[in-house]
Amino acid sequence: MMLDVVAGQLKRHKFRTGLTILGIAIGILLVTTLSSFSEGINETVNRQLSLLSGMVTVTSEGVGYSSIQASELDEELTEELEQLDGVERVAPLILGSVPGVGDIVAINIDDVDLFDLDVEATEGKFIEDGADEVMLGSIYAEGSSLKVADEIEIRSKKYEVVGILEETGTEYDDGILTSIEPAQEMLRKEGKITIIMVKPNDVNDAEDLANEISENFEDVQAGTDKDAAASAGEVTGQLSFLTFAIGSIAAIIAGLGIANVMFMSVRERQKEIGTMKALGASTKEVLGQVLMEAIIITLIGEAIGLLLSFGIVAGINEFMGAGTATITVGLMINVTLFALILAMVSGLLPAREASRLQPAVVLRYE
Amino acid sequence: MVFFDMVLGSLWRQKTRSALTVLGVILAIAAIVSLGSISEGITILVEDSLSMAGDFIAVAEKGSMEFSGPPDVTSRVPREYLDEIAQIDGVKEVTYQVEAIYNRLFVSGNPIDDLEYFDLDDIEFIEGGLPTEGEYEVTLGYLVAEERGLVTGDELKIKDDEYTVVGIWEEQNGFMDYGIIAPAEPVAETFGIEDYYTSIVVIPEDPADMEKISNEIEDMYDDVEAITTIEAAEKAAEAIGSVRIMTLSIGFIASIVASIGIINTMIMIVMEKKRDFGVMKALGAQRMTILSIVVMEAMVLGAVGSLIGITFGVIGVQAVNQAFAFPIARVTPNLMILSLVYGVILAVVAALYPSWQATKISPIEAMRAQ
Repeated sequence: MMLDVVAGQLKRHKFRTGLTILGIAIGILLVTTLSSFSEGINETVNRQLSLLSGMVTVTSEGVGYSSIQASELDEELTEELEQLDGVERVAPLILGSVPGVGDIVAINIDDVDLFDLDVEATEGKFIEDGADEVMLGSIYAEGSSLKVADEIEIRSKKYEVVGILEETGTEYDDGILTSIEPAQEMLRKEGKITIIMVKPNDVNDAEDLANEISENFEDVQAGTDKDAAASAGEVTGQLSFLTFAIGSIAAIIAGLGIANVMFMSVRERQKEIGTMKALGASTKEVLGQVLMEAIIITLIGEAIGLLLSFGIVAGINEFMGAGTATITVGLMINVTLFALILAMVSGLLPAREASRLQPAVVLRYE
Repeated sequence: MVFFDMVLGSLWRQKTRSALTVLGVILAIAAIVSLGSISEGITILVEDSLSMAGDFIAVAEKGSMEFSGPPDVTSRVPREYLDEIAQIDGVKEVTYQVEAIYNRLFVSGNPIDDLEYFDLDDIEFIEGGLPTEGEYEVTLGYLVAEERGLVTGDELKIKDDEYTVVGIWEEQNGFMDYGIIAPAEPVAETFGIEDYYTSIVVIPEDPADMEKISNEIEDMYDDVEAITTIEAAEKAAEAIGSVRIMTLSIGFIASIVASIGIINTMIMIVMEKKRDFGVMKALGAQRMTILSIVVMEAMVLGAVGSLIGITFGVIGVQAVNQAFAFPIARVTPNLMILSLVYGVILAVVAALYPSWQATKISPIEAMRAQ
């Protein structure tokens, strides 16, 4: 019965209602699309973090998750760390970028299992330690015209492209993989590495081991995967908040539109509402009815906005590489909650006005 | 005046509705101003550093000048190129830079006497002056001095060497605000830079020859690229363009939603005033008069909303600047005027359909419908 009244009211002013729904749809579209970028970054970060699970990460002191490339460790540190009690394995890793070429990732080939890389490369063969060979990440390969057996020139030196990696969803995809020595040459950091991964004998000792390394070695910091997750979470959390805040502006403006339409709708129906109250409708019922109207408008708009943003996000990924933007279930829930709150807030004042109408006053004339 | 009574009267009668509509415009314009000020700020930052640079050609390793601003510090140009480039016809002077990044500091090593080529005459010092050739002395950008609490006479440790602070530049809105300048030799010594420079800088006899000289340099060597300040400015403009599109499109979308609010409000106003318009038409009012009443009403909404929105936007920009480590966002008079004009035009466009509806009202129907 209540829904009938609501639907009837919305139909009565099709143009007005349609415009309001359009406003909400555009607002939701903007907030969802913008947030999908930060969600995309989030997912990439999480996948990268999953590689670190149970490991201790050693970098230069003062380096954060977003400035990891600035870390510079002496190669010899790898051996020193290997001597420590409770250490099962150590693996050096180089992350850097060469202007005009792109990101460089380098590991020792023996450590391939530790970094969860598939040796069965999609195309070609795997690189050999120390050889002037590189493998291309899947996205990098797509963006360049290079094929297996081609040569790539990095800092006036030629390297053979021996393979193309399968898509991993991590930063390998975007860059060039090689072994430690050639990478040091490419990056001009002879004898230096970016990160040392330390695998403890017992996962439960990771925390103690990290503390021990931080204390005993100068200019070096060590953290567990939990520390890395916390540090990364801080960065991505800020980003998500910022994008959502900027993106929600349009939706908030649309919310003002809903409030406006609801005020009008209440004022036009004064007699109707008065009659309902005279016939025994409670204040709560009237309040609920008006709120329901606002919620229905918002949810229809939200559904349209969400649907459209799926299309746009698909377009973005097509254009800028897979995984750039994602609409996660979490994001959809957040957007829906946001829309509901928006509907409630914008419907509240008009609903209060409606519920306070006195039947005796509004039905007095005529 | 009757005309204005008609306009302001109906806006005043439904205060809540007018206020909500204006609030929508306020939010949209405030968003445009504060987001737009960020791209304005970046534009000014880049343009200033480019204009400060004057007319010259920067020569650096291939691929190291993707972005505007100083070349990548890992660039290497063999030292012997310097004399060879000096021999090219039309080259007036050549100089070089050795640069490095240490501890978040951009360290630029220059032959101090050659700094005059860069038109640095206008730059004032907060204190002190330039370092002495060959000495372990530095001049700091003002942000470096502020952040690290350094004054003239202090020591600054760079790698294993101690440098004496001899001066602090005034704010230049450029990259050098974040960097330090030192003589070339000590910097090369400190960072172990031996047989190469980070970049070579070529000053032409005649700025018109810049393009020709830069092509010649690129023909001579495979491993370097030469970029004139004009090309650098073009590249920078490209980079700024995408930031501008991003920020403006968010503001644009917000304003579209606000204009939907205006359309809705105007349609309701037209419906409420059906009878008034009918009477006016019966009394001989032109369609144009009725059209302009509705458009004027929308313009009032747009103008009031924009003016308040700009004010809030400016306040928002202060907040943005507080959040960043350095004040990057800038509200220019241009941005304010454009926002106001845009807000008013937006309102006029939004009023087109409702006002057209108003002109179609038939007097007979309007007056019959009680």
